[in-house]
Amino acid sequence: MNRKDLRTILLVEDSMADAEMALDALGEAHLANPVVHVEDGVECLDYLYARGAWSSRERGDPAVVLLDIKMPRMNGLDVLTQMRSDERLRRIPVVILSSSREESDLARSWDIGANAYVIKPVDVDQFFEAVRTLGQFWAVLNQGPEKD
Amino acid sequence: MRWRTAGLLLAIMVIVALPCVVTLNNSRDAQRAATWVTHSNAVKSLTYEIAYLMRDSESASYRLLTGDGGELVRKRAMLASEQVPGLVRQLHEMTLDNPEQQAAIGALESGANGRITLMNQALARLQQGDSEGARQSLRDAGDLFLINGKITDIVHNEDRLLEGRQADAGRKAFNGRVVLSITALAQLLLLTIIVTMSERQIGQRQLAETREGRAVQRSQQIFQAVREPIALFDKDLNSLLVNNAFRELYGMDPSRNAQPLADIGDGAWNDDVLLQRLNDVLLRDRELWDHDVIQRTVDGVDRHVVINARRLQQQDTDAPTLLLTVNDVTTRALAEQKVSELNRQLEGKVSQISDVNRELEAFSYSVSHDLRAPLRHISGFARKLENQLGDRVDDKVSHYIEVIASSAQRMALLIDDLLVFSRLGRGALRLQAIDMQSMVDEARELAESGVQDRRIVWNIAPLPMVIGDENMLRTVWQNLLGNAVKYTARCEVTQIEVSVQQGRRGDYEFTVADNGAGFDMQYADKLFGVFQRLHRASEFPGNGIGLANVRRIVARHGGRVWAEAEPGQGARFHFSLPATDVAGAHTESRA
Repeated sequence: MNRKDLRTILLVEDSMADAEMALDALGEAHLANPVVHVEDGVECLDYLYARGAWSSRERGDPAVVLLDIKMPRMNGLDVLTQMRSDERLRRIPVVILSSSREESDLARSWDIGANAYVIKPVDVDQFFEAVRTLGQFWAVLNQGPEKD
Repeated sequence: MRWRTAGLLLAIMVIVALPCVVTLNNSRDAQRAATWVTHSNAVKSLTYEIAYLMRDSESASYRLLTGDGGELVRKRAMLASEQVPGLVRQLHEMTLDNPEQQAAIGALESGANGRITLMNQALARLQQGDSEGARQSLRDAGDLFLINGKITDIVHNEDRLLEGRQADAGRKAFNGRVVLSITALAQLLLLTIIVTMSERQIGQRQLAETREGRAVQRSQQIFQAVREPIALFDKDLNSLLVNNAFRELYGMDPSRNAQPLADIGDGAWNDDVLLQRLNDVLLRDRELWDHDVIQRTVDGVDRHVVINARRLQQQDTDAPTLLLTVNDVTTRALAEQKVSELNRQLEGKVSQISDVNRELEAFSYSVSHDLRAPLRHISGFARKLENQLGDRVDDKVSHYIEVIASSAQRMALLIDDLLVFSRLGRGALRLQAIDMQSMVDEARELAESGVQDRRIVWNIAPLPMVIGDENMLRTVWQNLLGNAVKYTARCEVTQIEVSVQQGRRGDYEFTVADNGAGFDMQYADKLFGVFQRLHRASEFPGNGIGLANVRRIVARHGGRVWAEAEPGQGARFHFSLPATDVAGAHTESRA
């Protein structure tokens, strides 16, 4: 296995129930990539910059960030804005995974550079299917630029 | 004008001078005629005297012959020879200008001389006593030298001459009279013309003066009648002319003239800045435009007035005058104050409304996020529970879990519907021209796509262009046509009719009629309520949000929606849209 396969999937989700379901779904996808769960935007950036609690983590950017919008402290859109304005984080794929069907959330997410926007389905089968597909696509199929 | 005057003067000269000349001429002629008459009479009397002397001397001679006579008779007989030659000479001299008369006088002279010679011979013979010889001589004298004819000739000649001269004089006098008469007429005519013309000119001048007077009066009346206070001041800012409005506004004494501006209206004008500005107008010809000032007028009210002033140059004097108009805008200012107060209130209301809207927005955002998550968890963990139970899941457990999951699903749908409904009430309408015909065609296709094995007869009338929010009106048609298809599911042949009527004020009334299940009009008021249904979900599925959305959309477009139906007899849904003034917003009718 090369390094790319080992890239993490970063799940940013404040709701433990949602996180549990998402982790289950990703587990069902049988991905080799490790999945890291952080609970809000601040922690997400800590992970990405490898600072704070995450200062001793293994180097390397995640294969994809699954980002919730509504979170305490720092919301997903602010995280995304920060990522897109930073040279080092600019190219990391970000998928917004939100309950919100609000047109304003969709428009703003696309405007500030989300790579995908997925509305969390209430229907459990649809939810599992969506998260599984996301994990497979972004962690396995998607090819990003090689970093040195 | 100069030529006319010159011509007129010439005419006057001619008309006045001519009679004078003619009269002078006439009087000279008359004098000359009178002289001629005297002359003729003198000639005639001289002639008659000659004739008389001759006859008298002859008769005296005859008396001497008869011896009847003394010395006196002898003297008479000698008189002719003594005097006649002198008289004849005199006669000659008097008629030197007339050859014919000279000839006649010459003849008379020779005749008279002959007779005198013979009479002298007779007298001599008588003296010698030869009375017969004397008689013979006298007889010869009478026979040989006839003078009566000559006398008559001279007298006739003179008469004829006189006659001719008198006729001439008469002709001249007549001509003179004619000329005089003509010139008199001409004078009359001229005088008449002069009098008429001057009368007319006087009349015109009077008329012009009257008109000017009236115009002045009129402008005075206007000046006095206008409601705007207007006043005219001299260069020292003393009043020259003040209209009633000005006088009333500042309580000026009508009997006083030339009041200083600073004293007018109890010092309302005693404002250094304003007086300085007005002096600038007077001395430097700077206009004063819309100078706002608050003055306490004579009624004790603080009035907001706008003052305009400009310099006026009068024709009769070099000194400049100041025209001042005062515009009392107190009521306007109050109204403006009121308007701005209202505006402030309105802004407050608007900000309240936008606060409410923001809260609503936040609320629905929160609903969208936070209500959905627990539902997802309910269905997700129900599934995890099912997985966890593994073999212990029997049909009942499976059913319960199914109900939990589908309830969560259904609640999620309700939340979505509610959010859509809430969104329809917020946000601005995006108005544009909309072709209702094609929109109805699309909605019809959509409604038909969900059904199979149905006979549906559509009857869609030509529909107009309207102004509205495209997405919202599409929702209206999708709901109405979808309902029409849904509630006719049990008809053998479905009939759906879409029609439009244009009202008197240009508003449109659209109607969707079907022959479906209809409803009981008793519950018609519930028809357009949120989540209100008149049919059981097992009969006709649905959650009762569609018509609520329709009503909200139509209301936001300024129209209304209503329905009429009978159970089993179909339903008719109507909605109206107010007239919008958009040129060319009508399509050609399409059959």
